[in-house]
Order: sequence, then structure tokens, then C-alpha cells
Amino acid sequence: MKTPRDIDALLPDNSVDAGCAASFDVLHSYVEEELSGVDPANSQPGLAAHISSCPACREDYLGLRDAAVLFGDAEPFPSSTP
Amino acid sequence: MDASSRLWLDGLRTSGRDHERCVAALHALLLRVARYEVSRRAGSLQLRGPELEDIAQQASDDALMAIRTKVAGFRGDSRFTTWAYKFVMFEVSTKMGRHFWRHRHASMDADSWARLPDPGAVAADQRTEHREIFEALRRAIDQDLTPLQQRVFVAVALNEVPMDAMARELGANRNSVYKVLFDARRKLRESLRLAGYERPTQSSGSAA
Repeated sequence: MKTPRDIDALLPDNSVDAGCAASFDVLHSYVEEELSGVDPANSQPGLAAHISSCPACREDYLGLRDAAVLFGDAEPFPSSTP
Repeated sequence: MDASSRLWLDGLRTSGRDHERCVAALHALLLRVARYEVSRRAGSLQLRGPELEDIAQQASDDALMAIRTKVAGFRGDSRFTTWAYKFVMFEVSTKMGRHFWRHRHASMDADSWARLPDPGAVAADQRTEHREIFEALRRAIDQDLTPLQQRVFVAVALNEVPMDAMARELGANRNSVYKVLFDARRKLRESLRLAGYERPTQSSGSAA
């Protein structure tokens, strides 16, 4: 008997899940790796598994990815234009 | 390390006027990011302008404090800004979790099952199978989970209560709530497997 897809969404099976704390520690490098065009799931499978299962960390990841694109190049002392 | 990140680090580690300018610039930047993030998440809560601005201000203040405390641990494995912004994300999430209960009055028990898919929403030839597996899931939730696992699973997985809101409700942190959810899911998968359903399979892993 096949299981309806909804069950998989409710009960994801991620045996390599890194958990919230460990994922937060490396979330910044995960995002930068993704923005560089590399799939970070290859080097950080535990974090990839975690953000597919943890709604809170997934929101943090989505927000951080947006912020890194929109505000990532800011500097503390913007050079003055001549 | 890239040149911009070096400038941020130097500014935070130095003293005097350059340090003050750097901290002020960082706070202004964190506030911009917090406002953007609060706006991005606002749809999930019924919050209005002043409340959103208050959350953004508090989140940027607390993120700045966390960054100044932890900057020595920044290893340069990303741009400094990306590292810094994750503290904004965390603070926004935590503070929006606090506001969740102000706008959520429904009892968790009253609509516990509302999120389980309606059998009428699936194809006719799958309805019996669909109904059977969700009945098995209901039994497993009732019989196999601890009271805390039931509470967390029903709230987070079925009613989409933010985990930071649940953490506040339980006097816990996000990580500990997730571990309860992780264990509940694993137990439910095993219960369904024992009830004869092909998937999900049991996981041997654990959430740290």
C-alpha cells in the first residue's frame, strides 16, 4: 500500500538531521555556498535535511538568503564619491 | 577574508570614533534587514505597522548585542554581513513568536485535526486508503505519543504554530521543541510501519 504524500510532509524521515543549534552555527556558510552556485546539500547534508523538516530554521534560512542577496555588500564606512 | 568583512571586523575591534561609527553603521544596517524580514514574515501574523516596527527595533538591538558578544568567533567562512544577519533572523523569529499568542485565541485542541487533509480532496479511488492511514495516524498520536509529544506535534505539525511561539509557551527553546517534534515524528512513523503501511520508514538518526 502506498502512503499518501501528505503523510511524508507531516512525518519527514531525515536520518542525518543536524538539529537547530548545530544548523544555526553554520547557516551563514550554507547560504553563501548556495549563492556561489554550489549545492550546499552536498557538503552540509545535515543542515539541508534539517531545514526541510524544521519550519523555524527554514524561515531563518529563507530570510538569510534574501538578506545576503539584498544587503550583503554593505560596508561600515562607505567610500565617498569625488 | 574579503575586504569588506575585514573593515567590519577592524571597526568592531578598534576603539574611539571609528568604533562608534562602525557600531552605528552596523545597527542601522541590522535595522534595515530586520524591517525587511519582519515585513516578509508579517503575513503569517496579523500584525500592524507599529507592532512590526517595534519587533524590528528590538530584533536589531538584540542582534547587535549578540554580534558584539560573539564577533571573536567569526571565522571568515562567509561574508561578515551574512554571518551577522543570521542573528537578525533568529531575533525576528523569536520576537514574532512572542506576538503569535496575542493574535491566536483558538484552542489547540479545538482544531487539532483541521489540518489533516480532507478525504474529499483526494481522488475517489484513493479515499479509502487516505482515510485509513489518517485514522491510523490519529490512533498513533493518541496512543503512542507522550502528552508533551502530542501537544508539540499537534500544535507545530498540524496547526502550524511557529516553533518559537511553542517554545515560549513551554518555557523552552527552539532546539528542545524541535527534538520533541523529531522524536514524535519518528515514533509515529514507526507506529504506521507496524500498522502495515509501507512508508514512512523508521529513522535511526537523532536531532542534535
